[in-house]
Amino acid sequence: MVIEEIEETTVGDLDGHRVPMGNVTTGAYTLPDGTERTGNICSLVLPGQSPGVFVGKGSVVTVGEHRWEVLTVDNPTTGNGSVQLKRLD
Amino acid sequence: MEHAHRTAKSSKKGSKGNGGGAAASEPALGNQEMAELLLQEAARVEGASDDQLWLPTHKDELWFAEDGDDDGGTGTTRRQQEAKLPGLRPKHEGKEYEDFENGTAFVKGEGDAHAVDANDVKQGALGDCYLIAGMAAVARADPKLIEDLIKDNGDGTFDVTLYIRPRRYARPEPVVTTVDARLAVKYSGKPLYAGLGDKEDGKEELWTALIEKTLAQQKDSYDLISGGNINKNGFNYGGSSELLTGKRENYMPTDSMDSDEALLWIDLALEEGRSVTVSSRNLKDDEDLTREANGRNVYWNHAYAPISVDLDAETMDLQNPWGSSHVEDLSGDDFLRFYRAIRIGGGRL
Repeated sequence: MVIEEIEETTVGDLDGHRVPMGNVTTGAYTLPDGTERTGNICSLVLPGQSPGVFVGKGSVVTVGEHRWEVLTVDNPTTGNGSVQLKRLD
Repeated sequence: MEHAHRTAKSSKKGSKGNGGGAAASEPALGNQEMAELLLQEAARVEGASDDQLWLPTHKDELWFAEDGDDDGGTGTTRRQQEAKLPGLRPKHEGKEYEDFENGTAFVKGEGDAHAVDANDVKQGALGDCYLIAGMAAVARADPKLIEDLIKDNGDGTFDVTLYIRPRRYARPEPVVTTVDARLAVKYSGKPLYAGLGDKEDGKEELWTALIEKTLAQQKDSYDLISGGNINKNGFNYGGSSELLTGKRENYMPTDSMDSDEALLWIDLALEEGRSVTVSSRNLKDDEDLTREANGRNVYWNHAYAPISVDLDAETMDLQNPWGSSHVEDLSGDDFLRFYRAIRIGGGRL
């Protein structure tokens, strides 16, 4: 199982693709099945797409040949937030 | 005939390790001592057939590597820095350092006017946007200022100069640190922190990673140069421009400016060849504003390097130190909404 973490306003690496993470905030987002959720969200700048898309726990994004599921979006009261993603296939 | 050809050569290439640091330090033998040892060895194995072994019978048969010619005849001895490698961020424990043997300080990319170009910078998995944006700003102001910071020793090491204050209220002084081309890498083999710049003929440009590593070397850790930590452990940080140019920088809060003033200050600084960076606010608790700002490639709590100002249109373009997601056509009013400070430092002047 491949899990990657990206920190707020830094650039992560998903299978060799540079993926910057924008900011964490709280708000609404949509799961792959269309369900609306509210919680911690963050923007991820996916390859070839700018500006970023906002994702939350359970969101799925495609980077290169793989899909990644958002496991957590951490929004600490002080310091930088972060996002954890798990490769699905 | 196959010979066991022994010489004084040794290879230190291709090393990996996490913080091992010091260069291999075998006791150095003089040529005469080495010749005697080899002649003794030749005597010891006397009786072995010539097919099995070749050893010199006279010191004149020996070929010795001269200093700077110790790498298979390529003319270089690859060395490592003597100082221990800086520690990685706690969350990156387990990642390794890898020697970028094809790395060189500067590579002129296609379309670049100079080998050092503001577009060389790429922030990695470290919150040091202030430093990376500062490198872009100084490179834009005067590429030679960056070139003068790094001396390639031709042996895999580089002497890198940073201007550091010995005390909180002191003028910055040049401090030279020798670093090598070993960089922490991700699983993909790419640098974990500051990325590589241009590539040409197999050569990879290292200058941003070398400067970042040098600062981390000063603090023994990459973690201690991330934004919130730079002033910790007694380090007297006076701004990224000061660190790179030795000239103090002006910190100008935007709260006391109107949009025309902000545009004019940045335009004037760029025109005069000074380094300019700007810092965004921290408004991430405001969802609507965060969505709006991130939608314009403005990210909170982040540093940028202004590229240009259009005084007629009253807009500006800002370089994101990520190396992508730059801000285009930002109005002066939005600049004041999103950004809290302008830092103007040294440059050509």
